[in-house]
Amino acid sequence: MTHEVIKHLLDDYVTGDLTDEARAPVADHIAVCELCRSEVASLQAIVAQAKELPRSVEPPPEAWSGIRAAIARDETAIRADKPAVIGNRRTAYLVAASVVLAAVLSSTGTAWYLNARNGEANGEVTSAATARSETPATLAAFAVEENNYLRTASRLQDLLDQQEGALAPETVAQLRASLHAIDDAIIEARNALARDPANKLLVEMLSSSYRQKVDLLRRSTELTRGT
Amino acid sequence: MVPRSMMSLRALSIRVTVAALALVCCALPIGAQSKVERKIPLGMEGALRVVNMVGSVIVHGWNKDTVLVRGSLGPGDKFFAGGGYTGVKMFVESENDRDPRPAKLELWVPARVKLWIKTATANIDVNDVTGGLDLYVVSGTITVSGSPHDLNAEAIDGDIHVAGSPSWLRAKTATGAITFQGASADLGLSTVSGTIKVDGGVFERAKLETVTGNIIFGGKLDRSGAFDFDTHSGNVDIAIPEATSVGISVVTIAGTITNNLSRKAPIPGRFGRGAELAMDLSGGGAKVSVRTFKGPVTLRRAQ
Repeated sequence: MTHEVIKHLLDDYVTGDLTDEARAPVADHIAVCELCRSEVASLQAIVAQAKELPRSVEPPPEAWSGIRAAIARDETAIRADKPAVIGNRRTAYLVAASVVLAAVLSSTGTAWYLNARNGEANGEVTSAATARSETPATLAAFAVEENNYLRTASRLQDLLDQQEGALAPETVAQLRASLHAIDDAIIEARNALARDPANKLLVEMLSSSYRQKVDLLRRSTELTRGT
Repeated sequence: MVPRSMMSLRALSIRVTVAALALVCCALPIGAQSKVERKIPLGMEGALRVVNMVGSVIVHGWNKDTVLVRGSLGPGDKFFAGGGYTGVKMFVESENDRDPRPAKLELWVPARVKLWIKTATANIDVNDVTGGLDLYVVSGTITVSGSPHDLNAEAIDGDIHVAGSPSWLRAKTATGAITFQGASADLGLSTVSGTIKVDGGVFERAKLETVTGNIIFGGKLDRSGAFDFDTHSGNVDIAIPEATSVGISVVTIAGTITNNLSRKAPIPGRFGRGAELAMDLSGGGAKVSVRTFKGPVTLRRAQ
């Protein structure tokens, strides 16, 4: 079997899905082919990392210190603003509301965080109608995610630059035009958000544009592999 | 005298050896020939993976537990196929990777198969498969007709055309267009600059998104459905059939809204820019949400 044939069997080799008869020539080839050896190492690392992923993730303990600080700030502000009798009762409601809000924001952020990292990349079957819940609820949560998007996009762009030779020049041109169109949309939405930071719709649009960019880069690198 | 249990063990080991040899033979190249014709057993709900970079892959579903493949290969190219009753892999190996010749493959596969196809510029055409489809092209065209249970189609600059009623459909391309004629319980379509056009039967949930591409939607809305349309600067044209119970919310940051469904006029958006419109028709029901940055939105009655 040649390199071209064997490269399509490497995933089965790593997951142990090859028959013994097919496994032997693949193993022989890997022993002498640096490219395949590197691909196998990369696949093994992915499998190992996937095995280490937790089934569920609890918010980190330090998240509560931030929530407690926010509650304390609210309490102080409410005491300063309201008369004592009404204040006690309202404070209790507002503190409860703050806790609920903080918990919702925290869990929304966490859920979105995990969805963005694990969901689409793993080909998870999600309902079209649930997609909007993936956007971050606050500008602060978005700022964290924006950094993640930028890092991921940069890493995927580097990977794509390395693989670009495998694509036809006209496809490369189309791809660049698409990425450029998304970047323009990001810049426009970013500028609008700077003028109107409280606009949740803009946060969601910006987040959606980033998601599309990362998704396009991911698909391009995946499709380019093996072409 | 050989004990009975020993005999059956020996018979079993011979069978395993023969099966293993058959598998190895299956994986060997057919040779430097320009024509391919092979029959491979595959369970009705088995998995099939096909890789053919250039040319075409045409697939038909049929009610047999066999894959039949016919095709023509470029000079010096080789066709490989291997696997067992639960899963088969097949691919074309080009003699010259830098300049691969087109290979045309036509396959008849068990209708309920789980089918995975990857190409570069080769077009993919799938008909009458009711199992799951995962189709990937770089710049070829994907065409699917029939009612696969689930369909995932991805391209970079290729078009995606679907006619039928997949229960679950996701299609993504960048500059290519997506057209869907049919019905689906769960629809997710995405392009960068390509146009998305949806028409046909009843939809339950749909999310259509582009960056600069236009969105044209003319499907029927399930009363309990949810429909999201997002674009940065593409035109959004939504045609709602008469007497549809629907609640519609449209927000555009810097675009315009043309409402031909009712007399309700859009109101100016935040800081006087853009526009917003919220209304219920026939008592509300399906939820339609349209969001654009600067793309114009038109709401109209379906013809």
